[in-house]
Amino acid sequence: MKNIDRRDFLKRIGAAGAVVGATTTLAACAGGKGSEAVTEAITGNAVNSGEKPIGDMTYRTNRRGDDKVSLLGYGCMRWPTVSRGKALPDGNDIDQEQVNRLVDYAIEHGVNYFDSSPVYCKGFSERATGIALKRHPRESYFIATKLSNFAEQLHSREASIQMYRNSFKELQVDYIDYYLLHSVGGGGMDNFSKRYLNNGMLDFLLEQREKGAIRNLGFSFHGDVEVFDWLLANDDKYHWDFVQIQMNYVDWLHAAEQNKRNVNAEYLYGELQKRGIPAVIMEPLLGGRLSKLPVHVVNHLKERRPDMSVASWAFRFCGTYPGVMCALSGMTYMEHLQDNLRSFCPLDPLTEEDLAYLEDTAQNILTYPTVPCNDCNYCMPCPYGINIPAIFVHYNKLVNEGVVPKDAQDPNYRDLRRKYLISFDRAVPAIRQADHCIGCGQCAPHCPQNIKIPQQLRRISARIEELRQNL
Amino acid sequence: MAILFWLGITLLFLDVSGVLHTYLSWMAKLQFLPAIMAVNVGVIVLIVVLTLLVGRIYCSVICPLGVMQDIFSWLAGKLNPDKKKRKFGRFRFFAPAWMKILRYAILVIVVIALVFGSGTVVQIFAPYSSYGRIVTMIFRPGVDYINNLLADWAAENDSYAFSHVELWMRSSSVLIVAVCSLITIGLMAIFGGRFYCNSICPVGTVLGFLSRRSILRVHIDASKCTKCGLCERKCKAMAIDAKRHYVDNSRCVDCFDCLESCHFNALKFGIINPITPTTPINPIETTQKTTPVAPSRRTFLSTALTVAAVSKLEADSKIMDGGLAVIADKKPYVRETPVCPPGALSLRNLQQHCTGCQLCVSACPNNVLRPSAGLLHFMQPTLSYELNHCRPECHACSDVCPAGAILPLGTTHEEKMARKSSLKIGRAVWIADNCVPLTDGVSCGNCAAHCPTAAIKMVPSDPEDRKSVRIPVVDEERCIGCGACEHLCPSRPYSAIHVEGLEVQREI
Repeated sequence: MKNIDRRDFLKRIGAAGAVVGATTTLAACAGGKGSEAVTEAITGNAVNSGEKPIGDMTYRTNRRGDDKVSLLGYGCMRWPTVSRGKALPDGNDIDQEQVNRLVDYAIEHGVNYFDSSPVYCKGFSERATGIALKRHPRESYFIATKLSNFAEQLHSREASIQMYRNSFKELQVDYIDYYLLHSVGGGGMDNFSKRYLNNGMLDFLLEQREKGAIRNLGFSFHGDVEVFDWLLANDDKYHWDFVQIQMNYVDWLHAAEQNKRNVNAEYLYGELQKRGIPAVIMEPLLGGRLSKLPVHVVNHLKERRPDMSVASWAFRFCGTYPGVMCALSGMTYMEHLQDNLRSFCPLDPLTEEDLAYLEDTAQNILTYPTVPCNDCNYCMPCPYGINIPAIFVHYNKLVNEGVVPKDAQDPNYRDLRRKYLISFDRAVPAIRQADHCIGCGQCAPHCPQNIKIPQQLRRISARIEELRQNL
Repeated sequence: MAILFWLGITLLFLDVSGVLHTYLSWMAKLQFLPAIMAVNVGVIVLIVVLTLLVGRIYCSVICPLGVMQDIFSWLAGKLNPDKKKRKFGRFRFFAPAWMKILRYAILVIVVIALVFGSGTVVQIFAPYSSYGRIVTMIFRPGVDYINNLLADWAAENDSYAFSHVELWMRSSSVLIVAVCSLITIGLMAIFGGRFYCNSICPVGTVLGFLSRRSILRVHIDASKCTKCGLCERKCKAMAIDAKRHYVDNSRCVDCFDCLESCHFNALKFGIINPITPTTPINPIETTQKTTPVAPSRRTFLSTALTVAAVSKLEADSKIMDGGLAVIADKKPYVRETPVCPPGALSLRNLQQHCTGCQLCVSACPNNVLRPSAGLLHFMQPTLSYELNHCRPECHACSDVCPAGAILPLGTTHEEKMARKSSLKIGRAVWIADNCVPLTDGVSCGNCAAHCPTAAIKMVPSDPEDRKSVRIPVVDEERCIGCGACEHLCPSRPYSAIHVEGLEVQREI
C-alpha cells in the first residue's frame, strides 16, 4: 500500500519534473524536455539570478528504479543553531523553527532526500529532522540515516541495534528509505570488521532490508580503499542499493595527492558506474570551502558565468555525472538552500570545456596552503576544549583572503598582523585556540579527511606566536 | 592645564590600546612620591624648586587626585541647595590645631613606613597612587566594557579599530581599598574642598611646609581689604582668614580663585619677603637611601600546596559529533614567593619603591599583572598566569613605572626583548598529581612545546621503559619564569606546572 501511495505521489511531481523516469537503472537528466527548459531558463534569467529557483527540480532514480530522488539532497549535519544560552537543558541547540522553515521550503521546491545520522549536531539532528518532516506526508520525502557506531562502546551488537532502533524513534518513522553503514574505510578492514562483521550487524541490516524496514541499504566511504573494494567485490552478496562517496572537482583527481590515505573520486565513481550502483555525493562543496575561494579564483568563475554563484559550479559538477543520484548539501541558511536549488532546478550540465576549466581551477586552489577541513565537526568535542574546525575555517579564510602578513619590512605588515591576530581572537576565544592543543591525538582518527589535526594546529599556533612576537 | 594633566594621566590609566603609554608616561614620572621612590633627583628638584618659587602649583596642576577633588568640589558648589553658598562660595577658614597635628602625624607615619619599608602604608596615603587605584579598579572595567561593545560593533563592520579585551577582577581587596578611598576623598572634597590635601596627604604636608616659605605667595593687602569675606568663602583649601587678613600659605594650592573673587584687588600673588634659602633636599629621600629594609616572608602563604584539588577533564570516548567541551577557569596558585614584574630587580626593590599606583597593572596588555592581596606586598604588582603569560615581546610595565619599582629593560625594543628573554623572574615547578599524561593517560607536552628557553623537556615517566607516557622535567637554570607552561597547561583549574617567584631576579 505504502509503495503505491508513494508512486502515485511521485507521478504527480514527476509530471512536472524534467525527467520522465525510465524503468532502467540510471536516467541521465539531460533529456529532450529538460534541455529545452534549461535553454529557456538561461535566456530568460541570464542576468537576474534572483532569489527564487527558476524551474523544476531534476530527479534521478535509485538502483531498483522505484524512487525518484531529487538531485539536491538535504544534508542534516549543519542545521542552524540558536544563540548560546538559548539551548534546551539537554544541550539541544538546534533552531527548530528555522529547520521547519527550511524543510518546508525545500520540499515545496522539489527536494525529497534528507540525510541525517544519530551523531550529527551533537546527536540532535535526527530529532530535529524528524519533527520537521513529520509535518509532511510520509511519502513526500525519503529519509536517509546511518549506523554511526564509531565509539568502541557501540561496537557490540546490542548497542548497535539500539542505535538503529533509536533512529526510528527520533525520526518518528516506521521504515527508513536509505540506510547507510556510516563512514566505512577509516581504520581499514580491521575497524570495519569490528563495527559490522564480528557483531553480525551487516547481516542484521540485510535482514531488516528483507523485512522492508530498510528500503535501500548502502554505505558511506572515507579513507582506506581496501574496504571500498572489498564491499564492492561482495556486491553480489550484499547488493548495495546506493553508495555515498566524497566527490567534487578537487577530489575528482587530486584527493590522493593531497593526502595519501584518501582516494580520488574518479576511481570511486568509476567503480560504482561499472556495477550500476547510484552514487550519493557528500562534500560536493567541501564544507563550503569550494564556495569560499581565493579572490582571483572567484573572479575567474564569475567572469565565466556572472549570474551563477561560486558554489553552483561545484554542484553542477556533481550533477553532470549521470551516475550521481543525489548531491548532499548541508544548508544552514535560506540563501544556501535557494542558491543550491537554482543549481538543480533544473540542472544545467557542464560542458567538456567547463570541466577542463574546473580542473584548472582545482589545480589553482591546491596551490594555497589551506587545511582541507570541511567543518564536519566529527573531531569535536575536543576533550581539552579546542575549537578545531573554527580554527581551521578561520585560518583558511585568512589564506584565501590573502591576509597573511609576511615580511616585517612590508609597509602593510602592521595592519595585516593586527587584522590577522584580532580576527583570530574574534573567531575563536583565546582558551580554545591552537596553542592550547596538547597533541593528545584523540581527534585525528575521527577526521574523515584524514587531516593530521595536531600537526596542523601546531603549525597554526607557531605562525600566530611568530606574529605576536614580531611587532 | 590642570585639566590637561588630569586628562592625560586618566587616559594613561584607562588606555586599552597601550598606544598612549609612549606619549604620556612622562606625566606619571612627574609625580612626587613615585619620583622619591625612584630617586629621580631631577623631578624632585624640579618640584621642590617650583614649590619654593610659587607654592603648591604641583597640587593644583600635576596631582591627578587634587584635580579630581576640585571636580568633586566644583560640582558640590554648583549643586549646593543654598543659593547664597552657590553664588558666593561655601567655605570658611578652618584651622583647628588637630588638623596640623594630624597632617604631621601622618607624614611621620609615612616616613617611618618608608624607612621600614612598609609599602602598604605609603601606598594608602600616596595621592597619585590613590588616584591610579581608583581609576584602574573602578573605572577601567567600565572603559573595557565600552571598548568591548565598540569591538563587537567593529567586528560587525569588519573593522579592526577595536579589539576585545578580557574583563576581569584584578583583585577584590584592592577594589575595596579603591572604593573606600574614592568615597572618603570624594566626601571630603564635597564637604571640605581640599580638606584631604591639607589634613591627610603626606605630599601636601611636605609641599605645604615648603610653600610657606615660597617666594611668590598669595597675601592680602590689609589697606584695601574690606573684610567682606568673599575670598574666604571661595577658598577651597579653607586657608584664608579674611577677618585677620591671613592666608595660610602652607595650605594654599595656588588655585587663585580668591584673586578673582576680590572686588578690591586686595589679594595679590607676589613676593612678600625674601626667604631664607633652603637647600632642596628631601629628608625622606636621604633617610630612605640609607635605611636597610628587612625582608620578611609571609607565613600564611605556605598553605600554597593545599590547593591540590584537581578537577580532571572528562576523557570519555566521544559518541556524538560537535559541541565544545566545557573548560573550567584556571585558578591562581598561591605562590610561596610572589613573581615580580621583569625589571623589578628584586622583591625588596619592588617593596621599597612601589607606590601602588596600578599604572603597570592597567598597562599590562596580557592580563598577567594584578595588585597583590598579600599584606606585605599589598597593592603592589604581582604576576599570575591564568589568562596569559608574561609574553616575550612585551615590556609595558617597565616602560610606564614612574617610581623606579620596575626599571626599564633597555632603550630600544630589540634591546628590551633580548634582556627580557634572559631575565629570570621565576622558576617552574611541576606537580605530578595534576599532570595530564599521568591523570588522563594521554600524551601532552604542551609546556615543553611552548617554553621559550627550552627549559622543559619531556622524559619517560618510567626510566626503565622508554615507551612509557612522557612527563615534563624543568631545567631550573634555563627557566625564566615567563609562565607559558603554566598558562598553556591543560590541567584545570590548577595547572600541573606553575611558577614560583624569586627574591632576586637575575640574568641567565
